[in-house]
Amino acid sequence: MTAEAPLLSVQGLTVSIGGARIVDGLDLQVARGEILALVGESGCGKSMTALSILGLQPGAAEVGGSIALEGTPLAMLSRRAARAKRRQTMSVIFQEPIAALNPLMRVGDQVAEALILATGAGRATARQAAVEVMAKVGISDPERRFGQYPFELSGGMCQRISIAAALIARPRLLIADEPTTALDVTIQASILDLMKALRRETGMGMMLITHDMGVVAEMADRVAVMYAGRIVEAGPVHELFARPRHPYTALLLSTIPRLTGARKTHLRTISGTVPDIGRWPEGCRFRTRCPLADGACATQPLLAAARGGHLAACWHTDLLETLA
Amino acid sequence: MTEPLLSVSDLRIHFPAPRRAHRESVLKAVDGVSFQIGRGRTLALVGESGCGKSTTGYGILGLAPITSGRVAYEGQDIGTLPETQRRALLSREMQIVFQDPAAALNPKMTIADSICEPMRIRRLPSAEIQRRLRRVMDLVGLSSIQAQRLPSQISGGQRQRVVIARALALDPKLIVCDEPVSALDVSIRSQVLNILMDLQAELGLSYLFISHDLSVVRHIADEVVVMYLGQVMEQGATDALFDAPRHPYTEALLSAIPLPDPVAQRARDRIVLKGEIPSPLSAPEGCPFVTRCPIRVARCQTERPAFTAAQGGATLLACHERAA
Repeated sequence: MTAEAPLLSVQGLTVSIGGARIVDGLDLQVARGEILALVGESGCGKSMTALSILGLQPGAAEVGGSIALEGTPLAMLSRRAARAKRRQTMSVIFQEPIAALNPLMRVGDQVAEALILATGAGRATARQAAVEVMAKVGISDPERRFGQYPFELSGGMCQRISIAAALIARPRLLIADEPTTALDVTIQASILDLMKALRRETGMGMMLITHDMGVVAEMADRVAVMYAGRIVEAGPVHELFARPRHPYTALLLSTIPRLTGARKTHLRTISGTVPDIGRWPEGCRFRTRCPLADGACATQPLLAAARGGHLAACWHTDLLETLA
Repeated sequence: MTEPLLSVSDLRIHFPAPRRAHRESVLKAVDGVSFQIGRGRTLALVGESGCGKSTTGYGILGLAPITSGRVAYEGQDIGTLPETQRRALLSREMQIVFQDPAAALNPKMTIADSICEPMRIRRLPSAEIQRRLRRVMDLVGLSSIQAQRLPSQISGGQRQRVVIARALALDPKLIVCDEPVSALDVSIRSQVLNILMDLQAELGLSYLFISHDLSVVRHIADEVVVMYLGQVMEQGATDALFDAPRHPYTEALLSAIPLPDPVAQRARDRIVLKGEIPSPLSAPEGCPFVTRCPIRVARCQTERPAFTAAQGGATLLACHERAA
């Protein structure tokens, strides 16, 4: 393990299913203790990116490009060793906590099992560790909860169980795919607080996948915005919100109704709809919906340094002010 | 004073509890809700899952059995009408738009057939049906080319336009919108919200807008009713409620929404509620919010607060501590 290597480094990731490219040449990195938010709308490929990093992509998917954990490219390892490396380094929490848990297994056993699988710990040790981590993620009376089944717990409580299972083996990277989308807003607030506290205490890095710009604003250190299988903009969170350098990001931020300002006015819209997977336009994929598009956009813009210290894939970043 | 279009007084919708229920033998999904909706106005019902906001809407539309209370339409108590008249009135004057447009449309029926079905059931002359079909498709911004498509051949945003067009076909005065944009992508949400606002301005429609998304509600509603476990916690004009919420639950709900602005969001002092929403089967005796309330006092445990004017605010609320 090299000291300087990023926790996660993805280069040129492609994912195809049945000839359709779902993810098309994606680069991203997560440093130790960093929260990277991967943002985009349905079908943009953000969840498929996460699944491929985890090695959980569907059987029909062909994954290309390089994924390295702590400087070790997984492609250099045997299948078995790559799996072990993934298990030791990262964990995942999914959107639907109830669907992510086995309905026929006591929740405590599901937490303990994660440690047994990752480290080969014995049952008694794992049980003890499970009770401890359950207490840590805010489950009251963990000894009693240990023996309960998912149907006996609320959605928020099930998500805490998922988080406990994800954390028990002390991962250095947590991949959280819409972890609070299925939860009520007051429960979301407490889960987000918990995730921030855990990052502070353990120095764990996080890749947070979400479509909610509010969650991004609260949690992320850096943000990568995906559209149609590619990253269109990436940068530090304050920079990206204050001065978006890609028209998609700018428009996305301007369409959201706010808790302050004018009411009952016409909201900003993005014309058209997200193109279907595999029917993406040539060149810049946002150009069919972009108010700044012109002939230049028929050629694909590369993700390049834009003003404001972040990256954007757009030929017309200098015209962005005219959008406002 | 002009008569409100819809007036709901002390509405209660109770269901027999499942067998495993403890303490109480009924599930009080809606328990004493009152509000009025004026012509051309939008009233929003907000709250977290299980608060009874959708059931209230269903009760008004006759889709859930009313236990007690009065629903009056243009001054006429709907409950006292004979069944055939009641159904005729409901289907002529009120319609609903559901959350998931894919589930609300028959996948084997073309867009045109789906929109025309309510008019055919009503036996309108076919020339009139064709005229209205063109009109409502035009109103929601669907092109005539799309009329012969199937739901699977159009996007999610377009499907929700079809559902809205179908709701408009019989020329209703009130539309119950049950989470109409929650299933849509962020870039499509603002399009649909604009359509709803335009239709209201053009046709003088009234909306009962059911949503958990307070940013959307603030933008579109004239008046807001905040529900928790079947009861109204606070209600008032949108500006008053958002600018100066007085009920501790409303305060917590508003402060839990992550703002899409990293500077503002990270500077906020957030109220994070402890604990989970109790099951409606074991709702507390006194104030339903007592188990999570940061300002509770002894009598909140036993005594249900009256609904009254708020201390130092322009809203009405149910809170012992904040009553005027």
